[in-house]
Amino acid sequence: MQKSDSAPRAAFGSGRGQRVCICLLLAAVGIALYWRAVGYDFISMCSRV
Amino acid sequence: MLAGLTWRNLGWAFQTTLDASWYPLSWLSFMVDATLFGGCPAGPHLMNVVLHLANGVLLFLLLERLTGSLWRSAFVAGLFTLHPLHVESVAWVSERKDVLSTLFGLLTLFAYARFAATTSNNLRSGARAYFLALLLYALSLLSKPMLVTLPFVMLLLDYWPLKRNAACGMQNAESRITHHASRFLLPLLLEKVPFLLLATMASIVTVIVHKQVGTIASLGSVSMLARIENAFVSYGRYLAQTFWPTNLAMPYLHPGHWPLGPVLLGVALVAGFSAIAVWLGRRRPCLFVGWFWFLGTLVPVIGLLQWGNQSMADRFMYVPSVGLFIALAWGLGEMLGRWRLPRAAIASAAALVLLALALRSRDQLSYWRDTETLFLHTIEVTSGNYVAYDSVGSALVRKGKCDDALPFLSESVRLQPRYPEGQYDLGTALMNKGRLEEATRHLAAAVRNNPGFADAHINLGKALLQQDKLDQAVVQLREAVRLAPDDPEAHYNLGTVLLIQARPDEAIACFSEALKLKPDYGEAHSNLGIALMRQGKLGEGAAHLSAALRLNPANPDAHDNLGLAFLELKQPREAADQFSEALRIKPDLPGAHYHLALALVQQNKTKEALPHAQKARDLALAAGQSALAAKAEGLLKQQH
Repeated sequence: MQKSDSAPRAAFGSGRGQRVCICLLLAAVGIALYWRAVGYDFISMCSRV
Repeated sequence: MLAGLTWRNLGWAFQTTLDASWYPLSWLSFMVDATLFGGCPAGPHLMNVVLHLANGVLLFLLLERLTGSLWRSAFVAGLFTLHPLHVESVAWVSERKDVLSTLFGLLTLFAYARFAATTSNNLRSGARAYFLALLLYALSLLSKPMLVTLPFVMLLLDYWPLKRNAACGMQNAESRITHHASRFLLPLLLEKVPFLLLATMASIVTVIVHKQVGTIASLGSVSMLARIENAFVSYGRYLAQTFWPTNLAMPYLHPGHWPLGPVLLGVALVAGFSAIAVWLGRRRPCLFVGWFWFLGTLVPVIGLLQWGNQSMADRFMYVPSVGLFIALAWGLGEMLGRWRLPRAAIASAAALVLLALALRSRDQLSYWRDTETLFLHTIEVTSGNYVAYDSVGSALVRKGKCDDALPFLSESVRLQPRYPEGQYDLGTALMNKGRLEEATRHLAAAVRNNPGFADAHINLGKALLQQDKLDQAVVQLREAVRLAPDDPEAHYNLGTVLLIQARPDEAIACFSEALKLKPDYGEAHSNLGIALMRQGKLGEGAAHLSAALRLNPANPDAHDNLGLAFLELKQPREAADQFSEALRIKPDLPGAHYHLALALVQQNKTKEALPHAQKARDLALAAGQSALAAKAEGLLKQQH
């Protein structure tokens, strides 16, 4: 296993805290992007592709 | 499916080859959606989004665990979550199989990483992790057999970042003789054998199902040379779309043969990048692993085995793109590290890239609002896309805009006359417009281009029936029943023609079969009732007509036929009620007027009967039904 990127960790506190923050950020950004899709219709294509 | 998760549906999920594939776990997940959210699209969409976000988070945690590199892992996960190439896998509910199989694939790699970290002190925990990885891999393959190449990804991860070859003693491989290297590599290969067996089984099942359904193109229709050309061009196009994701569409059609230029460019890109990855492999293993992850995981869908009529698809990049993202994040990261650029500048550049991708994805996502919008966009950014024209036309037909649909359907057929679905959709739309001769021509073309197309045989049979070409209709409908013995509509339509041909015994068998397959088939109950009445089985006939009316109380013909049954059973009052109801729903039915007049006469209500007899005569004359008009006239004379 490699170890790197150690410098920015101080800003976020512990490694575990950083991981949690990044996970939450990923989820938040993903929801912000894809939330609209929840209101979309089903797609129907006339071919087996 | 809409019944949700039931024991019956559970069995069906493992047996069905619907959609030309076998992915029982994905079907089960749709059933869970139906149980939780009912039939509305919001639920399945939400589940796809949640699974995609889970994949992004899992990818981050996996890479961070494997490499210890927090920010590069976060960058790769960001690229994965926000890249426009992945919009298709998320916004298209059908691609649940993509996001679900990837979820289990990533969990497999997690368990595998735990197994790989096992030391001789915790062999039991290592064995548990290994068998967990096998189980998760089986679940991934049961969701979609895309990740048949995962054992190959594990080998790449063994090389970097796990460096398991080094742990086996190959760190000085250049100084050892080959058979030593083979000896150290052998355990790594052997431990992949159970995974390879699962992958082989999934591949065999997939090929068998596709061959049964007919979605694998034969070498006769797409030659091996054309497939190889398309494979190289597609690798180039996937690379281009990863770095400049514009003009994304669904589907990209197979052009047959590509011009020499794009093929040579594709060959040069694949050969060039492969050579660079091998050359830099020892010093920059991330580039080697990233590139061959991309190259290898695309192999099942690169077109050497040709599925359907597509050349490539955005969704096929859902997992392979991770390889390119890894090569980019670590390769570029190491390069920028050597240049000693300020961290803030690197972080800002990364954030800008992610922002640009998010904005492009937001734009791309808007095209997935509905079928019409999506395929109008495809028409705009591709050329000669007969599938997109057909899909827009069909979407308009479903909205009841048949006149608007016809130009799109006609264009689809003009672009590709040998496209069976296009001919079928145009023929069906024309049939519904009453343009029966044109409809017959297109439906016959659909059947000619795909003799196994059961729905086309059914609609061709229906079009021929409406033209009173009963013998020809029977031929088509018998073929439909042979091709799709589980399709109630095929049995029902064949029964209807046989009933008109005065073959009630055969018709009754067909309607009974249709009802066995679909017990709530109102029209089949109605026609079975008529057939039974013609055989003099009035009680049974009335029971089926009553069942038809319970299912569809607004069916005037069923009311009329049930009234006739009551009339035969000498129950004129009940009969009159049914005829009156038929006329309330559809006031210009000459037969129902005549029958009501008869029922009223039997109740000695001659005065009330006469206006209905007159109406029956007038309507029958206007409709050219001379026999019925004569009967009504006879009744009038009799009562006068």
